[in-house]
Order: sequence, then C-alpha cells, then structure tokens
Amino acid sequence: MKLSFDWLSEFVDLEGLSAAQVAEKLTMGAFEVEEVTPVGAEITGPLVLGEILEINPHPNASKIRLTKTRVAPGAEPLEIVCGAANIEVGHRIAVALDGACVVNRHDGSKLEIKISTIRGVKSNGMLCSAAELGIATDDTTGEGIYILNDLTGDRPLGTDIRDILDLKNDYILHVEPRSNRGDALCVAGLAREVAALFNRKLKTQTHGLDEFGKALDQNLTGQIKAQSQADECPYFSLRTINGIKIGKSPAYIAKRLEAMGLRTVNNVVDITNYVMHELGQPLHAYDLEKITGNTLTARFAREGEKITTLDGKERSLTPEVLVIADGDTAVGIAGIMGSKDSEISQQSSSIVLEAAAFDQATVRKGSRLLGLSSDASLRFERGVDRVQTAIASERACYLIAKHCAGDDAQLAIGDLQQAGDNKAQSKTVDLRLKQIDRILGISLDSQKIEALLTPLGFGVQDLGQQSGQATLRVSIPSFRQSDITREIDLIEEICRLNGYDKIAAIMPSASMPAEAADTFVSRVKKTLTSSGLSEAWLSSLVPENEPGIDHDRVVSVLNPLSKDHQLLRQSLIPGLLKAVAYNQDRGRKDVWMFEAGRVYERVPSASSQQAASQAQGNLKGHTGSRERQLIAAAVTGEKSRGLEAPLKPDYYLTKGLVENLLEHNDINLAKIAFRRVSDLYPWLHPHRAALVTLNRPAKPKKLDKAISQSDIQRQDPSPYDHLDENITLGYVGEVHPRYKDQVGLRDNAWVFELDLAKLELERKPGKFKEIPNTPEVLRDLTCDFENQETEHQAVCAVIIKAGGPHLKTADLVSVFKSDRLSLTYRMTFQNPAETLTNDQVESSIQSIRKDLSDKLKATFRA
Amino acid sequence: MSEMPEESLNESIDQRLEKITTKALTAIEQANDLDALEACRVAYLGSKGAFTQIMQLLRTVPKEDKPRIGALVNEQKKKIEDRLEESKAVLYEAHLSAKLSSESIDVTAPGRRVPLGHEHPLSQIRQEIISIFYSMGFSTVDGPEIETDYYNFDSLNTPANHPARDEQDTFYTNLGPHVLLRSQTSTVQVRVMEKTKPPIRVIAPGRVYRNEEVNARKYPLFHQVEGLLIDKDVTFGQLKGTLQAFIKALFKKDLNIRFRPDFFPFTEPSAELDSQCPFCQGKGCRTCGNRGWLELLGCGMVDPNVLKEAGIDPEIYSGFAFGMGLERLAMLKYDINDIRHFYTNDLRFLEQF
Repeated sequence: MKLSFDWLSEFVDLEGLSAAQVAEKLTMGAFEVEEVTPVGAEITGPLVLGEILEINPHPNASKIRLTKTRVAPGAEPLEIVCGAANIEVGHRIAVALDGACVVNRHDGSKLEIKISTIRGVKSNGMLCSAAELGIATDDTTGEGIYILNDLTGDRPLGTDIRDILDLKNDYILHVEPRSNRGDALCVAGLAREVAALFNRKLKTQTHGLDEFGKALDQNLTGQIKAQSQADECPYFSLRTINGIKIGKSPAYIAKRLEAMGLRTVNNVVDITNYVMHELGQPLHAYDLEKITGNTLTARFAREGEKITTLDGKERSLTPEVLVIADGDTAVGIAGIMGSKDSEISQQSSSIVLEAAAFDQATVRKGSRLLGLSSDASLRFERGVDRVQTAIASERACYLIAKHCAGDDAQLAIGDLQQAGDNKAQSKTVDLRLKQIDRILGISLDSQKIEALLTPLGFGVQDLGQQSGQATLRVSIPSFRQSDITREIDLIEEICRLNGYDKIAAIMPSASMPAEAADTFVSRVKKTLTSSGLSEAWLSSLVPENEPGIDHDRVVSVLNPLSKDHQLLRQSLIPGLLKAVAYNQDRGRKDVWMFEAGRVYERVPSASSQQAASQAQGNLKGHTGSRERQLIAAAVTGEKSRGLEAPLKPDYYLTKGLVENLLEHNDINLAKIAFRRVSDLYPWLHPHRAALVTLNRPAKPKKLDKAISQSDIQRQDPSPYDHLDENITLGYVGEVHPRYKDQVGLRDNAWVFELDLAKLELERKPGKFKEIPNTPEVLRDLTCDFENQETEHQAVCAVIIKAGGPHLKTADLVSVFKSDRLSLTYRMTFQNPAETLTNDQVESSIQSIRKDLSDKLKATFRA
Repeated sequence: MSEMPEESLNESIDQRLEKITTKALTAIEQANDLDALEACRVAYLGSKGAFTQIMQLLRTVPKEDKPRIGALVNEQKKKIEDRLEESKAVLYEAHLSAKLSSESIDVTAPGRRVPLGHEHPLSQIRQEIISIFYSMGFSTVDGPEIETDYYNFDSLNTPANHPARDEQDTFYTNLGPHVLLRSQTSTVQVRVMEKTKPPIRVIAPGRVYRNEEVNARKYPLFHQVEGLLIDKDVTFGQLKGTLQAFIKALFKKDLNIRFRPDFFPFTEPSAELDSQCPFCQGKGCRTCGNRGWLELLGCGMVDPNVLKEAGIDPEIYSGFAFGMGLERLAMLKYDINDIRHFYTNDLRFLEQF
C-alpha cells in the first residue's frame, strides 16, 4: 500500500525523522518499503504572500506587463514582470522570490527562480499560477495567476505561502502488503508499528460527533435498520445521514487520495475511501432513496441472483457469495463492491453508511468466484479488526457531517443501527521463555519481552513456573488476534521487534554424511560437452500444436496465460530443433546442442488406480502422471577444427555420439542393439532412424485388461508403443525433410533422445582384467552380399558368434557398394593363455565364413 | 681393406699400428657429418676394418712380445674410440641444431582443437550450489513437478482460501482439481520428512511454474533450490550461519548481507536474505530499484504446523528451510539482465559460460 508520510505524522510523532529513516525501520521491521517517492515537485521558498500595487505596461513588449508588488508589510514594492492577463491591482498573490523553487507549468519539472532581466527590465521574482504551485485548478491553460484574496484572510503580506496553501512536501512510502497483517494496511496500523519500532508516542485522535449535537437524532424517521442472517457477517452497522450535498472533496482529502493514486469521485465516496485508508475499515455509502424498505440485511445470495456492480458489469451470483440486500434485491456484494443501482449520485441527499465485519474466507471465495476484487476485499481477505468498525463509522460520519452538509442546514444524523456484536474478545497465548532460546538462539528475559510487546498493544503477565518452565501469558490485542494465535507467532513477533541482526550467526553443530547428487547426469553432460555440444535449457511448457504429442497421455494446463505454454512436453526434440532454427536464423551454421530434461505424461487410468491403491490410500501425493528424465541432442552444420578438415555431422556421427555417451558412462556396447524404426516421431527420417535398445528380445508388456482395451481402441500409433518397451532406451536418426521444412531448419539435422533412468539401470562399472602377454593376431575379411539391405549389426553378430572364444574384436573398416554390398571387417584374435597358431586362427575364420554364407548368403573373394 | 699396402709386411707391427692410428685420426678429423663418421668407424673398427685386420697379425708375434704389443693395440684402439666419441658428440650437436632450426614453425598460429561445448550457466550454478551444500552435509533430493495441492500448499500451512495461494499464480492441470504444476520446490519438504526421520539435511533443486506473463524478470517456469535442515536444537542463529557461509562460498567474497523479516506461511520466523547491491554498492541503481539491496533468497524456521503435518514432534525437533531462485542468483553472479536469455538458448549466450 501507499503510505503518505505527512498523513502518518498525524498519527505518530515523527519529529526529527525523515521519510527515508522511517522506510528503513519499517523495512527491517517486516514491512518492506520498496520505494520512497516525493509527491509532486518539491516547492521551496522564499515563496511569500504579496499584493499588487500597480500594473504598468512593459516599455519594450506589448504582451507582458510590469507590476509593483509588495511582499512584506510596509516594504518597498518590487518590480516584477508578469505575462498573465488576469491580474488586477489589489490582488493578493503568491510571489516566488530569488532562489525559490516552484513547478514548471509546461512539463512539471523543477523551476528555479532568479532575479533576471526580461526585455531590458529587471524582474525581482515571479507571480505564480496554480500550476506553478502544484495545485490542480479549473484553469486548464495554467496561465492565469492564482488569486488568493479569498483564501488568505487577514494574514500579513510576507507570510509563507506553503503554510497558507498547505504546500508541505510529502513522500509516499510504497509498503509491500503482508498477507497475514490486514491490520497494517492503513495509516493508523503502520503508525502503530512505527511508534513501536522508534519507541515514539502515538497521537490520539479526536473526532466526536458531539460537535453536531443539534443534528444528532436517535429516532430519525426513515433510518435504515441493520440485520445479519449469516454468521459470516458477525457485525453489521448502518447509519443514516440526511441533508447531504454531493460535491467535490475538500482539498486535503482529494490531495491525499490522489497522492495514493486513487481517483476522486465525490465528497461522500472520497471520505469512505479516506477513512478506509486511514483506519483500515472498508466502508460503503448507499443512496437512501434507492433503497427499498427500511432494512438492509447481510445474507447469502440466491442461486442465479443478479446484481450490476459499480463497475457497470452485471453479475450472476451463487449461494457462496454474501450480499447486502434491501427488501428483495442485492444492493451490494458484502465486502467487495456495491451495486450500481444504489450508488451515490450528484442528486443524492440522504445516505446510509455501512461499516461491517465480514468473514475473511467468505470474502475471498466470493472475490475469486466473481473474479472481482477491490481495496475493500483486499482488506477483508486479510482480516479487519471488528472492534474498530464502529469507530471508523463514526470517523466517516464526522467527516461527512463536516464537509458534505447541505446549505439549508438540514443535516440530520441517525443513530448507529447495529446487528451482531463488535466487542473485543479476550485472547491470550502462553509463551515459555526457553522456547525463544530454542528457536532463535538468543535468550531474552521477561522485562525485555514486555518492553518489546507492550507498545504494540500486547499485555504481558508473568505466570512464573508452569510445568517447570518460566512462562509468560500474553494477551493479544483485537487487531492481532487473526495472526497471533500460537507461541511461535509470539516468538516471531519478538524476533522482529528485537531485530534479526541481534541474533548471532553460528554453524549447525553436528554434521552428517551426505549423498552426492546427479553424478550420472553430470557425467553424461560432460561427455557431450567434450564432444562439442552445448547445453540448452528449454521450456517444458509447449504450444497446443506441438508435434509428436500423444493426446491420450498429455498433461495440459487448464489456465495458461499464453498459447505457447499449454501442454507439458513429451519429447525434448521439438524444442531443441526450434533452438537450432533460432540459431541458424542468426547466421550460425554449426549448432550442436543437447538438453537433459524432463518429459511428462499422464499414466493410463487403470494403472493409475492401481498405483493409488498400492500407495494404500496415500492419495495426497497421487497425481496420475509420470515424469521421466531424458537426454537429447540435435546436431547440424560442420564444426570447424582450425586448419584441419571440419567435422561433418551425419547419421553415423550422431550414432557415434550415442555410443560414446554409453561407453563413457559404463554401459557395455555389446549389450546394445540399434533397430531400424520408421514410425516413431514425425521428425524422424523413416529410413535413417533407429531405436537404441538392449540387445535382447523385448519382454511382452505386462498389460492389465483395461490398458489392452484402450490400446485396441486406439487408432493412431503412439510413440509410446515403442518407448514403453522395456528394452527401448531411446532413438537416434536424421530429421525428416518435411519436418525440417516445417520448422524452418536451414540444413539437415540429426537427433537422439535417451531415457536417463533406463540408461542408469544398465550401468556396470568395469572390473580389471589381467593384460595378456600373448600377441594379437590381425585378419581382414571381406564379405560380399547380393542383398544390399544386409545390415552390419547382423553380420557382426554372426562373426562374433562364430569366431570362437579367442575372437576379441571385429570392426567394420570398409563399405563398398556396387552390384553387391561389400563389407570388410578387421578382426583381432588373442588367447591370453598361449600364443595362437596360424591354424587355430584359420579354423576360426573358416567357421565365420561358413556361418556368414549359411545365414546371410555371403560370398568371399579368393 | 684396400688401404692395407703390401709393403707393410716388412714393417714392424708397432710401426703399422702407429700408421693406422694416424690415418684413422685424420679420417675422423675430416669426417664432417655423422654418416661420414660412422663410415670411419666401420672402416677402422668394424668387423672387417683395418684395425681388426691388424689384430689378426697378433698371432704371429713372438710370445715374449705379446704383452707389450697387446697393450699397444689397446692403447691405439682406445685413442681412436675416444676421438670417435668426441667427434660424434660435436657432430651430433651440429646435426641437431641444423635440424632444429630447419623445423622452426609459427608458434602463434591457431591450435587445432577438439570442439568443446558449454554447459548452460544454470547448470553450472546449480552444480556449484549442490557442491557447496554437499560440503556442509546436505544431500540432494528430488521431487515431482506435477504435484498435488496437498504438497504444494496444504501440507505447508497454506490451507485453501489462504491469501498466499493467490500470490503464486498456480497452473492447474487436466489431471484433476487437486493436481497442479508446483509453484515452489518447498513441496519437497513434507515429502522428505514423511520418508526420513530426523536428522534431515537436504537440498532439492528443481523446476517450478508460475502463471505469469513473460518479461525481462519473469518467465512462467524457473528454478529453485530448496533447503531443509531438521534436528534437535536447530536455531535461527544456525540458519543465519549456514546461509552466510553459503553466500560467501557462492560469490567468493564477503557480500554485505542482511536478514530482513518477511512472511511465508510455512516458516516462522521468516526472513528474506538481501545482499547489498553489487552494481551500485548500496547507493541505489536501476538493478536494485533504488533500494541499494537485492533479494537473494527466502528462509525461516520451519513452522510447527508443517512438522506436525509430517509426523515430527515440534517439541523435540526444530529446523530451518530456505528457497532460492537459480535464475536470480545466476543473473547476479554473471551480471545477466534478462531472464529470457536462459531459455532462448542462443549459442552466443551459452558460449560465454
């Protein structure tokens, strides 16, 4: 909320304190002041009351005139040049003398006044317009001099204008509201805090209605009675006031409201707002003539009941919403906003002033349901002190009677009509002194605690030893009964009043062994960065039209602010490819990127129910979803390597990245198989993509009936058909040319995506094997295949199987395609126990040849 | 060898030895590279060399002369060998220095590099934070991003209709009215306390979501690191000590920091940890909104209601919790002015870290 420093000074003695000092103290006392801003331009003297004695033409100019103006009783008049047309001899005006600062009426900036020569004539100051004094007037041109004859009474010439016009500098402190401190959302509440923090005195307020003795009429005819039919309105008060004239607010009220950024409406409405900001109690004024019957009732709305609120919108209500109703119609939504129909207008002459207490949760719920909030609801939601309700009503009534009474002296003030009660309830909380030390690490005695708490209205009674512990009984003032209900609340209060800086910082005593985090993921990232890929962090919220989404499994956001953030992603690749395109669009050719991130999916309902029942009623943590962490990469464009030939990405380089990633993270490549896949994702080239799987047949999925049913019903293939296989770790492939065009990639790209949890399961750190002393034998074997589709992986598997125990490696070293496919393998043989003979090696090769020709129809050249 | 003259038969062995030695030394003198020197060695000391041949004449020497002649042979041979060694050392140095100077390259030409990628700055600072807390005995735990309102709010002393629920514009999902995207990593607090008995010392880094418009300071998802320590006799003073040590370790210097009272439903007392604005040294600038201080993280003593909710007796145990924004800390540490840089993934940004 915005707090006026000047207004605050009416409630607490601020003598000698600056706005900045108060802001600092409030900030460290739990009310953060985000900013202190001066109100308007700063106006400084000498700025005095003067009188125009003569007006003469300017010798050298036609549009400006030369005045003789007296600025002190009996003093020599000063010559001052003035261009305004509205001045006359005898006008009393504001004179800014040499060194004064006023407001530049053209742009609101600071204007410093100096003795100067204007068209050859010396001018000793400036006669001020309203705009130059920072006062709003009806003079829209801002050119006319502000004539003060009606305002100055018998004040002598030379009086400081700032005193006459109340031009004191003010500052606005922007105080962050605290959700649990409704009591401090007003000038009086913050004054209480300031008084306690600086140990200053609060100023007492006097605004008795006795001043209007003859207007007070307990039995005013036609006054409206108050009734509450709901516990959620524990106190409801009304006061009828007749003989009102609606008009503008007094300047000081308008000025303060405007300084807080509020719009002024009319004197009555402004006063209700003024008192709300002053005392924290929301008030509402109804036009008496627009109310049917003689009673206003707080009750819950009927289903479908309609009301048009002050903002002009018609709203349909539900029984959760508390309203204020006359005979039959809702005339206001309790604690939130009044109705248009009962609004105060220029013609209103009688009003009903409402001051009530409404339940926090009820106002909040109503505000949420209607999507409507106001300064009033903001306060009720945070809790309003019901004891103060009648005081606020009286204060508003006082100001209305003082500033809004009609000319014909028909002012009549009815009695306060009340329903429910607003008496203070006595509440106490016991505080064990030891607990302060136990929680804060500082010990305070009961005198100190009393000294801290008393200024805020707490009462402290020493109970002595209770169950062996020194205990204080603290009585809670009515305005703090919603936020202080427990011992810990008092400890916090004591902690902040005493100062957080008074608590010494120490390290926790005992230490304990910790588990290191994410070592696997970190290592995977290192593997990829050392291969030239940079890490991206992508949004997990993706657009509604994200490609590759399985809509049966999608988790979507119900209330997105933007269409770009509507679904939770199921793959990292579309985001990565977008990032690739983004970089390409900025002229970057080599874009090699990866991300380690989560994907999200709804789990089919049957197994989700199962999971829930397994958790044995632990539904509080059951979301019906699954999150998996993936590692994915996209590469495009040649990586330059200085003077050496650049590194050119293709399918095999990308597959190599996968193989490196696996091997560097303790996954034996012998366990891995790549299986051609053509229907996984729209971004994959159907003939240049493979699933990365474990080198064994997939186990049949454990499907319960419900899932298999839903699978059968499903028409579209889903990526999960493959990804759910227990042997599938992920995939690698080239980006589909259509997809490439759709997302605007400028060059071919390749991708892979792997499930980190599945990878981690396959990790097996190596064990040392003795280094053999026997020599390795190398043999090359070229096999020709008529079937051009013959795959390396199948050939290699046959070689490994047929090669016998001493075949160590079989590497593909050349591929040649003509009318047939020729693959050359370099094999190493080694027997750790003894040196292999040529015959032994030859016999292995013979069995390899035989199996290759039997199983894959391989032929061999001589 | 060819330079073995016939008339030498008439000379005494002594004379012939002298002669060969003199010839050999001259040849060595004349050899001006290592190859020529090696040829000399072969010509005189090689298995078919002049010196070797003359040794064969030793057999013809009368028995009484043998010791003297033998000593003489060895002496002459040693003379040649020594000279060979000396000359070899000189010629080798000369050879090396010629070779080296012919091998001169432009040492300032660019290195031939294996391409290297860069870890995302958020990854780096995340890892750094994990390591610092690891050194203080904190384990790292994880929690789901799709969460129930129970763990996001209710268990954290934030019941339905609590105004604090409004302040974190929460994303709700199609998975049911109680399923949301967590708005804070504090969700992990009760999840951990349900599973683990005190003492507990954990941090939980992770992604959180808030339904906010994108601008230079806000993005609908960002990252937090939650911390939780539960034990007997844990005090606010220990919270201050732990976080002070952390800030010092992360920023590698003593920042001027302060603990300012604040309110969170699940801690009491609660505090905001502010650092003096490093951009203006507290004088007030645009980065700190003229406050002179920047908020680093929120923290406080775990509210007894939260402990009770997790089945921990607040009369026996106490604890503290804290939560910090990764982006915020990274922006401060690396002087980054716009949160969107983190998610744009422009290589010109990533490669600076």
